[in-house]
Amino acid sequence: MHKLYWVSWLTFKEGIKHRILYGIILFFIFAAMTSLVFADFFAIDVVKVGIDFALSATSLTGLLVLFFLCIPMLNKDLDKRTVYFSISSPISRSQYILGKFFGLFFILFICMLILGILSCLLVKIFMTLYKAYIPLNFSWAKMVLALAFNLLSFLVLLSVIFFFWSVSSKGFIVSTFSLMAYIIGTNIAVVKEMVSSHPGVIKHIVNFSSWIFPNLSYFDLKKIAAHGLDIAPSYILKISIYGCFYIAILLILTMMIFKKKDLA
Amino acid sequence: MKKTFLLIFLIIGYFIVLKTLGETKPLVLRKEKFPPKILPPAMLKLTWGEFKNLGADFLFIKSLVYQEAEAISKFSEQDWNYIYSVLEASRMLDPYFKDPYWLVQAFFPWEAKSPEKAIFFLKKGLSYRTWDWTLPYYIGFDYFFFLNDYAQASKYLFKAARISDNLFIATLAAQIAYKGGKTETAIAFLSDMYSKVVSETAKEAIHKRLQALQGVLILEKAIEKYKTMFGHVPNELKELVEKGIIKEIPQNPYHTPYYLKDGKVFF
Repeated sequence: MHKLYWVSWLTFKEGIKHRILYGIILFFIFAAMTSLVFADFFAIDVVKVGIDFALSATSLTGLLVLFFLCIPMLNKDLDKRTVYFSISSPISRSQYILGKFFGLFFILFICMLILGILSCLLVKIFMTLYKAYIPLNFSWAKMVLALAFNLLSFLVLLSVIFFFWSVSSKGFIVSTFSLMAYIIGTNIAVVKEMVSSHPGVIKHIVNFSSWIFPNLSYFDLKKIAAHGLDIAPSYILKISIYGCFYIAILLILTMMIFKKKDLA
Repeated sequence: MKKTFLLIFLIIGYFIVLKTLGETKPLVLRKEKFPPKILPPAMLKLTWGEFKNLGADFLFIKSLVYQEAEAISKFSEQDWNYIYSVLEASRMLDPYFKDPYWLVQAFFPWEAKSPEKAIFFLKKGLSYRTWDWTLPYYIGFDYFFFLNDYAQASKYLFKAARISDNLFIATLAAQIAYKGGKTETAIAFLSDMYSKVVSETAKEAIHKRLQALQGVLILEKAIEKYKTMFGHVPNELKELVEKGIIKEIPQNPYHTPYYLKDGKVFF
């Protein structure tokens, strides 16, 4: 357990060194200012637009962290051979993978925490400026829920990144395949709906893909937060279990592949 | 030293080019002969991925930009069809988003003269915005004011009244059930829309229409008085001034004079 913590802590420290926190805060401030400039263009649902901007900026920033921080950090270990330093220490390869995953998870968690606070601040500004236009059933709990499931979708994507990294270890390939998985994951529900009445083989391919790729649209609760819509607790429970199971399966596969990987 | 001069030269040149470009509209902003096509709904959803809500907001702004306020009166059917499809795309991406419904109601029955299209669009929102009384309220108003279908109008207005518990709507629904006060109802409806809107452009457009209808109401009341006095409606509106019923004919904010046709006032 101590070894796992050690790898996680080193990964976290290395990630923080990249000064990403400054980057994401600046990016978010830019998005927030844009939303405030555009607010007056809207007729009625102004606070909803504010929530859209806040949650979308959070999502986009999280994706930037995944693709421009997490993937390069994983690849750096292999490219600069720093992986040998960790592997030659008395820790197993599985502990190394888990340590790395939790380290990157903490980075994402801190980023989401900051972005979440900033999002809530932005929404609060909108609510103060446009008091009469707050969605009828808006609640902060739904806002926090949307942010939490955004983090879970990032963790699912992180596990996909780990899987591709264990297979290929070439930065470009990992990024390309992870991006592909992200695009498929966010759109698989729409594609499934499109081909549902299609009699051909496409329907089976799409159905098969939906078993393999993560269905990220399940974790997208932006509409719930933006319009204050009701959500069943059973749905929250199901998608939480789905996300956790997906992450666990991919991490185990990653560990199995990485164990047999020739690092020389 | 050479580099400094080159840099100064380039900066000055840059601003000169920028100033020249400032008077030229970028190609994407130039109005084309045929409005651009909108992606089919499924493709649109795929394009926006997890940012569908933001896509809906963006498309709403796009429809507003296309309208360019003062050019609305010159819009062809094709232009209105384009705006309708942009708003439909926005609605597809976020069917809970209020603004597309609002904009369709604000312009389609009035300027585009397509109340049926507005009703069709608004009805799609009923199954999503179940808590929102304004959608059945708009539908009811369109049936009443534009299509003279009082049965449908009162049906939807009573539906709105049930959702909102608002006495005003219930009264309105009852009034419509008795087929009365068309202009007053329109004024009450537009005043309500005006009080709820944020966008200054939209506010201005509604205010203009509200002023025009207030003028119509003054003239209708004067005609009613004329009818009581002389037993028939006047042939021209200026007769109302000549007989001293009103001091002057109100100014039409649309810069065309009010006129009388078959006993009704138009603007």
